[in-house]
Amino acid sequence: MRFILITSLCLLSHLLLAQQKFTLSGYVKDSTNGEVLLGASVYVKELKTGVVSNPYGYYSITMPAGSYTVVYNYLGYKSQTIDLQLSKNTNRSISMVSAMVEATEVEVVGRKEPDQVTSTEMSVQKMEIATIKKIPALLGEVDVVRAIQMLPGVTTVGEGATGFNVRGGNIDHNLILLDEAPVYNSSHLFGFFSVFNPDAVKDVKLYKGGIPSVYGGRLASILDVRMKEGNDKKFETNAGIGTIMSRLTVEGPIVKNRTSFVLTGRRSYIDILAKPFIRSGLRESQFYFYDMSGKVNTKINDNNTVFVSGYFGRDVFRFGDLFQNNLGNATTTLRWNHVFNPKLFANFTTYYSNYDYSLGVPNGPQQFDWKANIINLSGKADFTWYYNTRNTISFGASTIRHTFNPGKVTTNGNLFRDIGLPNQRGYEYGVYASNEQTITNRLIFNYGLRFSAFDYRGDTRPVVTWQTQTPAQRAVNRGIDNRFVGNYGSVALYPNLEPRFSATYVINEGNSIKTSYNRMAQYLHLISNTTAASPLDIWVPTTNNVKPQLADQVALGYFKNIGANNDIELSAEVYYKDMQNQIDYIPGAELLLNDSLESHLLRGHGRAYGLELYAKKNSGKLTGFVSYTLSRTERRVEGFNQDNYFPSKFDRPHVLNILAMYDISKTWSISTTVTFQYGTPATFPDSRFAWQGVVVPYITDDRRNNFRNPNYFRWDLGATYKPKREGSRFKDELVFSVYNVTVRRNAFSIYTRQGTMEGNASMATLNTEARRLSIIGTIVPAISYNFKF
Amino acid sequence: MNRIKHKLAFSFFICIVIFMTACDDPYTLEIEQGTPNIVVDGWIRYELNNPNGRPDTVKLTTTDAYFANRPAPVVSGARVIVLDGDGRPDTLLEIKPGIYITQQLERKMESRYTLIVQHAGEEYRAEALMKLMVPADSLRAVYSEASFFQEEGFKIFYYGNLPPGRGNHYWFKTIKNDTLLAGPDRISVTDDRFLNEGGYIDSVQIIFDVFKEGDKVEFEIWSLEKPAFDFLSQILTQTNNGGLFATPPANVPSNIKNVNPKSPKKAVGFFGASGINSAMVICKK
Repeated sequence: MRFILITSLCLLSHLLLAQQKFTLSGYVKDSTNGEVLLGASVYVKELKTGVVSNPYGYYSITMPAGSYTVVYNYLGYKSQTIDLQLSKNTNRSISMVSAMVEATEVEVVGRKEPDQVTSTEMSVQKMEIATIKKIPALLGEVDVVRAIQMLPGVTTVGEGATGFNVRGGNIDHNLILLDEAPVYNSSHLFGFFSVFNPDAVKDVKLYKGGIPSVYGGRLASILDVRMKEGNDKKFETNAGIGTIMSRLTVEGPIVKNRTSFVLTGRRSYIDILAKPFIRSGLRESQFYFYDMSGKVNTKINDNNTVFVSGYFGRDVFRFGDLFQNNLGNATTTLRWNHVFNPKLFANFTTYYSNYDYSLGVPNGPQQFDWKANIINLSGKADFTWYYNTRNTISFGASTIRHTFNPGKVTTNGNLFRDIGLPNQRGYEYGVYASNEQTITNRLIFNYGLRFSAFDYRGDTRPVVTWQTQTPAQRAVNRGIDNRFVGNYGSVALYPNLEPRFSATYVINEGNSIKTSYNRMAQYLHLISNTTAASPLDIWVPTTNNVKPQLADQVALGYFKNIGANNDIELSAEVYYKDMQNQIDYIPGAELLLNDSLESHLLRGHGRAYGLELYAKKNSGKLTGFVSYTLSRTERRVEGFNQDNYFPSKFDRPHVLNILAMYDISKTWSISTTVTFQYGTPATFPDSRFAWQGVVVPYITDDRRNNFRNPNYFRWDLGATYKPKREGSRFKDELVFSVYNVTVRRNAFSIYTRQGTMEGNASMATLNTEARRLSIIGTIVPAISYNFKF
Repeated sequence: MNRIKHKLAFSFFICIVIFMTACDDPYTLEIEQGTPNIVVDGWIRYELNNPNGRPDTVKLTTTDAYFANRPAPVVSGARVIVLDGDGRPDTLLEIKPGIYITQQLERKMESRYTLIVQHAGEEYRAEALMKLMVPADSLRAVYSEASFFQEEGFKIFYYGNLPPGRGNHYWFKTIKNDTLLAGPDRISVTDDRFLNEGGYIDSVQIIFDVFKEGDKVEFEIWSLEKPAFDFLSQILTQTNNGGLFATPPANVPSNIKNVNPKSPKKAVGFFGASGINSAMVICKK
């Protein structure tokens, strides 16, 4: 309430002081392909203030009548300056020229403004797709998620594991958005490759903290991936042939400068190469993955643009009649940008998202087919009101209908029976408002409030409330309350207020400090009790037994630009995060097809804190970054580790990443990465006992994560060769990469097992040993060839 | 469910084999041992052909350092008693250090047995219910050529009725030429959650070993109560727990309790009871 009051007062005071004012607005685009540029800066020299283009490339700035010099800047593009006589509302769309197009050695690219110092965002990491493409990649496959893992505050449990962990958050604490639709599994092949085709990706932005109130529903981060709109001037084809998969992207105008499309697809082909070597009995075997996406946008007029986009990807495994597994995401988004008036921009989105998997035995007496999925249907409206040069107000609302199918098994009735758990349903609501207010030219506040709620709906079955669990209670878990709510009756409603605040103080042109606080609420939970999440893990809603997860985060940062043209960005951030209602599991929990799953879940408390240092060089022959994170992530769950905090499975106290890229000549460029990560924690048995000929590990005092896996170190090299093709539209490149140059056997995990044993179950000597498992324990060279025309 | 997990792990294994990048090698670890606890390994059996023939064994040992790599230290001189369903005690005889056998215990289906172990001033107790045995029908040995997954030899298929009702649990043991195939990867337990009630198990391969011409393969089906099934399932999880999809190592809960819950001395292991049925086949082309 107080927030609204303050906002109204601020606005009122401005209204009273208002003189004749007009609005300059429009879109910022790339001159060659018409792609809108998001995050481009529009700076008014006379007023020493500016705005940034929004995710749709739109900008709006309201100023008193007068003559102005307006400077448009975007990283990698030539700066553009216009002189403007503002005497009426003016629509000015700007086409910016890429520095690459007419690159000469002495070209001075416009300074990036607002840079990280003056930007009001903190704990936000933007990665240019051009940079991502230069990182030496595993098997030559450019990968957005692996690139993200090099940023400060981002870690992974290990090579080949799906997803990423942000500031001590679980992988399901990240909201991964592809054109505003959530993606529930960001990986192909259990985690080796991410689902984003780099040729179709335009922009990648990761919010680790200071999360704007427009976003909600996850605790740790937002990974906002935007797809290209498609060239609206001419047809263009991008293709690549890699070691693992091949890619093809086609884009072009349907109606020039008005309607364009982009279609893209990738497919792995190891199965085709392997075909001659597969025996006749397994001819039915399949082993591949693919993804496709498409997007069409049409500019109806200056005030209306409509976008339709879709993504579809699948992983398919089948080993004859023995086993099959098939999984993937599908999303569809429909968006409408509408400019109500030059000051009020709106975006309306509706999306459908489905993640599903099936597995089973295709034929024979043990035939069964098991399917599970999570479906979201959502509608939302987001408004940006460019009130004046000092206040930009955002507000909006969203609703999501979640349908969870935790698993249904159909059979031929031979050995197995049909079995299934009923669907779970819930509604998630969000309403928010925020204001970015320039208090003085040095001090900027961004304050907002998000109200979210989750409404868990029941069905005709009784609602069971389980008694509070401790790890030892497995044997006695039982329902303590049964009630009926009827089909679609509300079982539990959880409202949450999520305040968001950030402040930027610009000390001088090259230095600023920023601070932020945010509360996040999460109503969906990934049920996963394995080191790396498996594609078969299910998502469950918040229910009467499973409480919403909550996180409070504070962060403080210092930002500094140095070097000629201020092109070296330095930053240091500290954060502290407190997480409530973290999900844990009783030992031996049955997570799949378990109708009393909720009685196998525990609630814990998490905390994470750390220091992130980041240095980035944006221009010149040598570019790249160094990131270092010192952090701690801990968890406390009653009944484990004698009720003390223990390091969580993705706690990596030291992480260092270096990326360096160097342009040797116009034809050759090289890159290298170095990664050092402190070992993840692990639980090892200190004792053992023999029982029926089996050596059973035993952990004194039920300790958890009492050891560390060995440290991780990796050095990769990459090189790109671009032959000169004078005067030709055809451009191509050869990309070489060498992953793990030092052939280090990095351990994914150390585990213990009983050695091989012959003979019977008598009390013979029973050998035990520790084993080191390396997912990629060798050097992996690769070549890929990319071309476009 | 474990089988599903193994299949997943298997398909993952196939993937990384195809990329030829994964490796798995021995690693040296230093781990300090915790305080030793008593370990109970005992089972009361009812065999269809020979219900009260063979004596049953209760083995008492202690936990040892994980990498001890020696026979478990035995617990000798304990007083071990088993009460039958009617409360009649049978004091077990220690025939070898740490090995105690029943003397006149009467086995009866659906009887609840109680184990009492007294040692070093502590008393431990456990209870086990002897479940009905499962009707076994027959085994068949089928010769098959080598394939991508298996070498050539005989695969064993099982046939038999499922008992009526739900909540049945089974433990399959394979005896090859009179020797039990033991070890963590040989534990095969299942429940009937996913099985057709009262259905017929028609030609299902339960053990994935391949046998040679002339091998005698005996199959024992032990009926289990739920706690025993949980114990064995968790043993299976905890002893085959490497890789990408490993679950956090945790202690397998025991059904043996110290009668004084405040005592720091705890017992581990399991005391169970089973009705046992068996089938046999000799591998012949």
